[in-house]
Amino acid sequence: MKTLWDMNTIISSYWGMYAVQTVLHAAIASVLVDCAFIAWDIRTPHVKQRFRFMVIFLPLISFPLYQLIVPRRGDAYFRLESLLDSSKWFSLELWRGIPLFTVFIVILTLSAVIFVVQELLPIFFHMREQVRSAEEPVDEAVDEAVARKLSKALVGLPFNEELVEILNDEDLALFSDTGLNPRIYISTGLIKSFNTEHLQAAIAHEIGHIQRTRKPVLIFAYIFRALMFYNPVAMIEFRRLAQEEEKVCDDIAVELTGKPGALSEAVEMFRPEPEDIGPGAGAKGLSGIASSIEHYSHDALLKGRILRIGQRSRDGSHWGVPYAVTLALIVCINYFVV
Amino acid sequence: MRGLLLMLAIAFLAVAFLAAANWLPSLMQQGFARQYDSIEEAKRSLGLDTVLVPGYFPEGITWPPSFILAQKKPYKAVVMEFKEARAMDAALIVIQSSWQGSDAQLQRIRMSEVKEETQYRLKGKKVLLQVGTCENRMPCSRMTWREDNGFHYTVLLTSSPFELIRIAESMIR
Repeated sequence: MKTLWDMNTIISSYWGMYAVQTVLHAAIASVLVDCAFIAWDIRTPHVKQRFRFMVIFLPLISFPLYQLIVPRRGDAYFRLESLLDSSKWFSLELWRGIPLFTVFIVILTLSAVIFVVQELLPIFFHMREQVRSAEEPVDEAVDEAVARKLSKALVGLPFNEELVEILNDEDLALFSDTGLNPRIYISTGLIKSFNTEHLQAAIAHEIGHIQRTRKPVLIFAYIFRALMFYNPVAMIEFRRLAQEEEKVCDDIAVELTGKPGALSEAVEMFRPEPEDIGPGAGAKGLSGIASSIEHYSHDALLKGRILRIGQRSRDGSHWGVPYAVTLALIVCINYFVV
Repeated sequence: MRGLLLMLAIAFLAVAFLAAANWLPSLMQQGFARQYDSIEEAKRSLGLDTVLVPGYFPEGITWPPSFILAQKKPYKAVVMEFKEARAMDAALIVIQSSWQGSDAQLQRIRMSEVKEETQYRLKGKKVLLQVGTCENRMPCSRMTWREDNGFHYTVLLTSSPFELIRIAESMIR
């Protein structure tokens, strides 16, 4: 029974209630935002991003605001009248008096571990790598034909050729550094494999990423998501927001090149080989399964992007009312969820 | 307009779903906080052995309680509120709880300022008496102690401590 008592100490504390309610409020906001997409047929990625940003940002401030307005929001009397009282679910005994709250704590801990391993450490390693590479400049000679092909692809694109770095790598690699000194990194393998139109479309997509740093929605979303490092809903929403970013950059690429077909073919070339996807693919054991799942989800994302490039549509500018209505519904419903 | 109506319908469904989710734990297990009509009903329903009730009431405050809240999960607790004859708000609150930190959650009226505090023995029990003002700026006093059965008791009265001591005295075994 001691577990139940400890649980109560946690969930009746300010920060305990904060942690519980950020997760619940984010979950409700996430469902309502997805419903808003269906209700108003919202498809434009940058509009979807604004809605998804709401799911990450609102739970962060909703609990302190509600408590400020109604300080007694956490007491037994408010809970009696509430729409959903989480303490009821947390008190449910599963086995030998172990409450469901234990499962909730395990989920929060796992989310925190995933955040550190998949989102925090890679940034740290990337920064360390950047510092190292800056200290040891590698000056590799580039094949003239490769450089010429790249120059040709860059014609008409708003990007300085000197800011494109060619990596001596036979794999397909293309990424951008969107920092203060933006750069695009492209592998020789990719330049050789792609024709000029594909290359131009792929580079235009990266230019999109660089242009988007002026509207750093992802950076703010990442900061807010990092503050809720334990929140699995914020983790999922942040990833969906990042996926929308790819689609926004696809739109920019199409606007810059005017060739949706070329972009769609270029994305197609990044899809993993069929033998890397599905059960039994690649290495055996847990790492093999994890790798297969990763390839599968990566492939699903690329497929989704290809489909969307083919049927690109715009919602117009009527998203203000849907946004306000969804925001109001989230704020009102979450107030009664404790 | 179609989108707005659809979204409102979805919101209505979401509210219905949350209400159902709030009700579901009570179907699966017993003992969650709810209002009871009588102390006997609360005792019977939650299987509580002992519920201490005051044997003395100041003038104007009468038995039975105007509000009873009881629960077994996440900890055992019984809250009784008594009103003064012509008043709307509770004047006396009696809390019996197995968790010491429950006061903040269970007191409908809270002490906002403690002006005096003293610890002494009442009928052999170590009690803490606090005198101050409540959130409604009314003078109020509170007494807390722990019984041998492990329960923590809090009695709050929106009045001077003299009557409170007599109420507590009538409860302590």
